[in-house]
Amino acid sequence: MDALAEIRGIYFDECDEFMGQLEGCLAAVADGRATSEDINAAFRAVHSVKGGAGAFGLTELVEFAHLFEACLDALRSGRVSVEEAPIDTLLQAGDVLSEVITAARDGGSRPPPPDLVHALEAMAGGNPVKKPKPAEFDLLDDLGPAEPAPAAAAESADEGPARHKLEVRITPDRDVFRRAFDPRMVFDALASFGSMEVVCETTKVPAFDELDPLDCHLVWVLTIDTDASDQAIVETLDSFLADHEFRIGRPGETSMGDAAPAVAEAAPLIPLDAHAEGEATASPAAAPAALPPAGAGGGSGAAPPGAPASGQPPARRTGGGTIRVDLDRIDRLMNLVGEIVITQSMLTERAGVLPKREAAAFVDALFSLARQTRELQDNVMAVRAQPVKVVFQRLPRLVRELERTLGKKAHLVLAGEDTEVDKTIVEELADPLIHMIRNAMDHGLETPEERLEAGKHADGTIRVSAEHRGSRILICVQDDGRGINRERLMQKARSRGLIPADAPDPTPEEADNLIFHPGLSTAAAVTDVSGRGVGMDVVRRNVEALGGRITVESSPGRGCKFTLGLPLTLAVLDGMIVRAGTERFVFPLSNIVETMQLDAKTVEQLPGGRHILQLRGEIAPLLKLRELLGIRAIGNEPNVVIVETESVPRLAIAVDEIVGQQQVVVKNLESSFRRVEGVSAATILGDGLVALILDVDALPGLSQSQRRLPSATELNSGAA
Amino acid sequence: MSTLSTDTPVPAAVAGMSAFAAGKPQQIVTFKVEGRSFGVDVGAVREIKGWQPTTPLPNAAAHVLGVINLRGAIIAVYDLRQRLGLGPSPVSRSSVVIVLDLGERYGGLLVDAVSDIVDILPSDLRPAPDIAGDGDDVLQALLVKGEEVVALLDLHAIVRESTPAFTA
Repeated sequence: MDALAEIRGIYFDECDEFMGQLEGCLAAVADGRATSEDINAAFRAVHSVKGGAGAFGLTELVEFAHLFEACLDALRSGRVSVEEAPIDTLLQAGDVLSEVITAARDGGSRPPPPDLVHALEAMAGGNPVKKPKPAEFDLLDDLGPAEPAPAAAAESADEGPARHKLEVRITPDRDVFRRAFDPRMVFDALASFGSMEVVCETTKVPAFDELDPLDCHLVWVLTIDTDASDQAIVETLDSFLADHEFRIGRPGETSMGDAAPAVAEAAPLIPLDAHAEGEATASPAAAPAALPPAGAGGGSGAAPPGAPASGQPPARRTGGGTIRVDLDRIDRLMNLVGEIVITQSMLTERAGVLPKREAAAFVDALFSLARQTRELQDNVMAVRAQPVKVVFQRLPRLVRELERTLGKKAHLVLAGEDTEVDKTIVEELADPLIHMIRNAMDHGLETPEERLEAGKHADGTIRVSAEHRGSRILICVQDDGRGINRERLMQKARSRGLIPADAPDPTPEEADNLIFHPGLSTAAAVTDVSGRGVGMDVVRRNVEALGGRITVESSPGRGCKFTLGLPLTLAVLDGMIVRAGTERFVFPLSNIVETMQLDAKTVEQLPGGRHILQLRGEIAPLLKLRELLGIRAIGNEPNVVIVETESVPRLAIAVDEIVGQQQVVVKNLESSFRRVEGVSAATILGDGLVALILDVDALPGLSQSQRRLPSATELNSGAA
Repeated sequence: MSTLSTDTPVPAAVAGMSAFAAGKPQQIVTFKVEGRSFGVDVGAVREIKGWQPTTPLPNAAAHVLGVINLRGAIIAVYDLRQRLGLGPSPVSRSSVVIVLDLGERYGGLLVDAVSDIVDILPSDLRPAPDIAGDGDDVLQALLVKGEEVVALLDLHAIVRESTPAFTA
């Protein structure tokens, strides 16, 4: 049953994707900018959820999805115009569907609210929608004589339920086995419709020495004696096969060159697999030509000419398609690329010792190698990349929920959803974004009355955008609310002693940035949503832990804008390599403010042995990297790196040498040893040796603990 | 005689124990530190490689020499001599690092030299004597083979940083 559990897991993963698509489409409907493609996509998403749910016997989910689908179908077919559609009902249905899915995933039950069901039924056609047919294919069931489907699906009500013989001709694509397709699953599914006879045609199988056992040359002809509608059978087939891979009709019809008219009506126009966005622009008339030859089977496929302009040609696996890959495999690939980079720098070092004549050609080859490696690395990174849409599409629902709890109205505008960023970053993006949206809704936006008073539209606007900027991604969350209340923030900061009473007034920007200070919140009341003062400082900490930055711009009365800058990946890092003693260390470039030569005149020793550095009128604590990390070496440390840390805005760290800047591949140290204080990870440098990446935020703390363990670690074997 | 699968997913020391308990014949890799013989279950040994410089880790225990790059993976290297309370190992041309599968990760063990692979029977094993001494906690059992006594090591105890000997 493990395999089934796995398939089930994949199904629920896909549900997340479908729900994401649905969310986006519904948002478009709600904004009144929905195209027919959006409505079709919404329909397909719900349909796909339903199809899978049927396969797993999730009745509650099937029933609700079916009802929802009927509503979307009404919208799609124009029976209900988009303008008159009950948007709230649809949005709510989307939310409920997501809850039902979650419940089904956890093995629970979440009956949809009856009033919603009534509203949906009303929309779907005035009268209650007929129950969907029983699970199209119940994997858990034995293959015993299944009951014939009692009622036809709503959309094919014109099909009579009379028992009749139906022929299904299955001509799978040649690569069908590579798609892990098992024809028995189709037969099992169809067997539930009635008694069935299967004939396998082997005429297309080539001569033995030309035969690739992984290619499928078989054609199956199934004759089913059933009272189910064609539509129901097509839907079942649709879950396993592409449209061009099967054809149904009366006995004897399906082997003919042309698709029978009766079939044409029943042929599904909407492929189950709704990912083929890129092909959506092809005209239906061009579709038959696009069919791969393997699927043609002597005919032009099941798509009738002049199909309603759904814009979805049935041929979809022509352009590569997608596969799911285990993340571990990509990581291994990434590691290998890292290895190549190391080997390459080893070669580059070697090139120096070659005689001049040979060196030139060698260096040329090295340049191409360097370029190819970089491209390889970019491509592997691109495999890991995901659009921020994955996170953005959760936001409309969040905003709707907040609208309900807060009694405010907000219009959410998303931009740049297709901006891609490494999967690791996408995962880490959700929490800060949700936090910022909550903040904007709760503190940023005024109540509708206040807004009208201030001469603004009653509905607030929150704009979330993403864009690439160099090797970083910028995410902006902007609201048109009241802005940050600087006076309140200052007042609080003063009363808590965060700003000395005699200090000059901070600039407006400095004042606004107090919002990131732990323990400051301007909300007058602590609400369910936010206001406990653990908001923005947590966001900042999380963002900085990812090597990112967050800033805020606010204009009182006009709104406020948070800008989040994040690296595109966590797998590589821009670092500055320094030397301390014989060891090299990497500072994340994002932490570094500047580097300089140490001028002895600017260093002062404080009573107690600590040193400080005067830095253009400001004072920075000075730490020596060798001392911090217990490295023995003689001589002064002539260079200093100024870094910005969480607790110390400017920290000076003295090092022996600044070696250079380099992109390094981040290797987790915890999995190979354990967490090491002051070190965030490790990397492998060009000479194949390991260098530690410093955790700059932990360095000040390290200097204090170091005081208790003064001697070098190598020699204090338990003596300390 | 291939009694142990080399990609056993259980921690090696545990695998060794269960094999002992099951009374099956078994192979161990023996090596020398300071003239004494030690052994580990062959199933736990991933590879044996020459010494390469380690990158020291700040504030690690004295027997943790640091980390090395093992074909793209980073592994920690431990000094067995230091761990046994015999002072730091002098690194020489014949020094080798035995790369061990510690269950959830790999680790390297710096030893003076690798000696042999020997077949043993559970009946050859004696429990480790219960006398307190530096590094005694790393012994799992003693193997008496003719004149020679080989100390079988508890791998998880070797890599442990906070041992009674170190916290005292």
